[in-house]
Amino acid sequence: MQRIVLLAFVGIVFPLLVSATDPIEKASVATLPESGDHWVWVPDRILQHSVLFDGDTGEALGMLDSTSTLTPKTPLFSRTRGEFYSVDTAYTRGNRGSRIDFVSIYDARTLGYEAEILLPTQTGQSNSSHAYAELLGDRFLATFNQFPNVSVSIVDLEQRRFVEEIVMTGCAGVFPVGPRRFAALCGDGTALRVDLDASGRKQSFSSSPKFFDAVTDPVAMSAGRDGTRWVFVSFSGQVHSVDFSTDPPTPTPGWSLLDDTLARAGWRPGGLQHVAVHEPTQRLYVVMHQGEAGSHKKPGNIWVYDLNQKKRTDRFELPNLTAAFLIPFAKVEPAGFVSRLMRWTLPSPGVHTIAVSADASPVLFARNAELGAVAVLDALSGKTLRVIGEAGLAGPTLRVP
Amino acid sequence: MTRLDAWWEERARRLARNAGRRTFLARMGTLLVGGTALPLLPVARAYGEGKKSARVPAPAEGFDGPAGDPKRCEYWRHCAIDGFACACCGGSATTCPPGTEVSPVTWVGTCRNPADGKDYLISYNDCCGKAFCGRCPCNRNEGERPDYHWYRNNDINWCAGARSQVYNCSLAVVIGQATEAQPEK
Amino acid sequence: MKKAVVLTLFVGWIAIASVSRAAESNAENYLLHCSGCHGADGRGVPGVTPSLHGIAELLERPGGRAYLGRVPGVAQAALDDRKLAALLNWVLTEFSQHSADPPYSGKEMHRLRKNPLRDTVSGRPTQASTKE
Repeated sequence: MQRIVLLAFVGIVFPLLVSATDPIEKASVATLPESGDHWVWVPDRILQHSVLFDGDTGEALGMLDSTSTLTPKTPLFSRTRGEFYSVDTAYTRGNRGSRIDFVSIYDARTLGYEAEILLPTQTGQSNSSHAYAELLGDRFLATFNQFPNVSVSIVDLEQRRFVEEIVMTGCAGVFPVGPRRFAALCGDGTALRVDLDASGRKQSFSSSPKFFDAVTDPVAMSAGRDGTRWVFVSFSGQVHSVDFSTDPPTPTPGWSLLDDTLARAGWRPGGLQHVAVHEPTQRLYVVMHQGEAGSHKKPGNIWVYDLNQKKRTDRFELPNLTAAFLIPFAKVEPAGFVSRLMRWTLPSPGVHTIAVSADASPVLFARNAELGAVAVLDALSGKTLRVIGEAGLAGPTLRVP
Repeated sequence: MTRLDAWWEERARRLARNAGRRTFLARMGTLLVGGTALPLLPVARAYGEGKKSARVPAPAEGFDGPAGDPKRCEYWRHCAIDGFACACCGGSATTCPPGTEVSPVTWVGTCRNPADGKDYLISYNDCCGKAFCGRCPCNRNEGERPDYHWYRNNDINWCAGARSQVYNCSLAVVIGQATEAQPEK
Repeated sequence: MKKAVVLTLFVGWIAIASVSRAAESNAENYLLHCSGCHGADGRGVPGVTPSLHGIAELLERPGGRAYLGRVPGVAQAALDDRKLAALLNWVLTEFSQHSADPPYSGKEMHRLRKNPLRDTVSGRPTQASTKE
């Protein structure tokens, strides 16, 4: 009997007494789940960070800071290594002092800082920064530099060290093709294939035949990857698919996004990251607007093409992102009358930027560079699934990790 | 250029080597302006070495409307500006805001002045060393080209070469008159 | 006699006009296509962009003549072969007080620019190691 009383005290009364003195909740730090197919990084050029959102829920999952004073380069993700990488530039006293360029390594589950790799080169900085920092596979990271040399810096993530600088004057960008191969676009209307050896050093250059004219009808730096091919779209709407598995790279004959009627009506591609390819379904997404020469960065609507048939298959309706951006600032009830009125009356200026997920039921993310809101569309049907509001203030890029 | 042109060019080059180029150009310019109604030398400013010259006609300015207002994106010199107009940031189209630094490297394009109908060479130097001005953001891209045609690209941070490459705002400096619009137009 | 004087004056006028036009268009093309990086004075920015003063020295080195036509700043300029050749010749005399001998021609430029140099750093001609 005595033993029973004792057991009852230990088992029931004692825990009650103890828990009464403990706080109800304890602060802790969240970790990310296994990476989702519909995640998206939303870099912000005003707030100087990139926020990771889940496109399926619209929820923010976490963020990575940037010390860049221009558009932060979108974080890169290696699933195999379980790491995110951020290519950054910083000054020792904020906006003055001596400059350092480096790659920060973050754990992909905790988003905690792990290590950094200093770069002896100065990473290129640009507003749109397309193809300025990319992973080639899981081992090599490549950054594009503008000054003093137009070059690419190779970083070995396995050994966590800078490998070398590859000078490629007159070309721009890093378009990954394989674990040790990337391409660049060049001002003479060709594309350059760069092959690395096993240690990440330059092995060879190989130039494609000329397939565009940089003066009269240049291709945009925003492009879509299709396996070992890259799909480039010119200012006037010519599509140039270049196969980089061959030596030299092979451009296939160009085709137009527009028939004569549409071209005469002034339709043309434009935006800041206005080209995306969904490889499994061979869909090409392009942001199109009605403009003129020099309007190549104007926002627009999303048109869908079939890369194999080389013809348009769909046009997607976009939600009102101006309203989505302003409603949280206006502090009105999102489901209320004023919000509905805002959605109905505020002008919807179209999007500059799109990104598509790579899975079998893909989503398409879209944003206007001047608005902190991201639309999530079903990439097959074009149906708006949701709009992520309060997605920062401004920024021209998106990246599906 | 005709064969005669080429021949004369070579003649002139030899002459110039003997005479001293700057003197030669200056004298030649004077002679031409004095004697003929030939197109005006657009680059006299770059070669005048401090000697103010009337040989570069200044563009028409101060006219009515947004195209005459340096605080507007529609300002005629802003035909390919990407960034904050310095006139809204404590500077002007040709002066950087206090405490910033003019980028020593830049890109150059042409814009047509609607008031006099002439094309001018515009240098879009960035002002550097302070963070985003944040006022009058403009993005016009007439004749602008992607990064591989870098010398006509307005996305690149042209603060390279400044002590701090932090971007503040963009100028639009007339560095000469152009006989025609840039080839990308 | 009077006719001869008029003719002489006219020929002289044409000559001066064409010289001026050539110099003028080269100087203008320099401002439009080169000066952004290399500066109106051709001096570049130390550690950022190269100076054009003294580049004529490259002409003395093996492969130097081709190098100057193949560097992408030259080869990829938005100018036709003839204007580009004239501009390169002008840059050499203007900033190096030295001219290519013979001057670059449009034909030569056409050939050189077809094959732009990509690695302009290790591809830069060095002083000939052996001097006869």
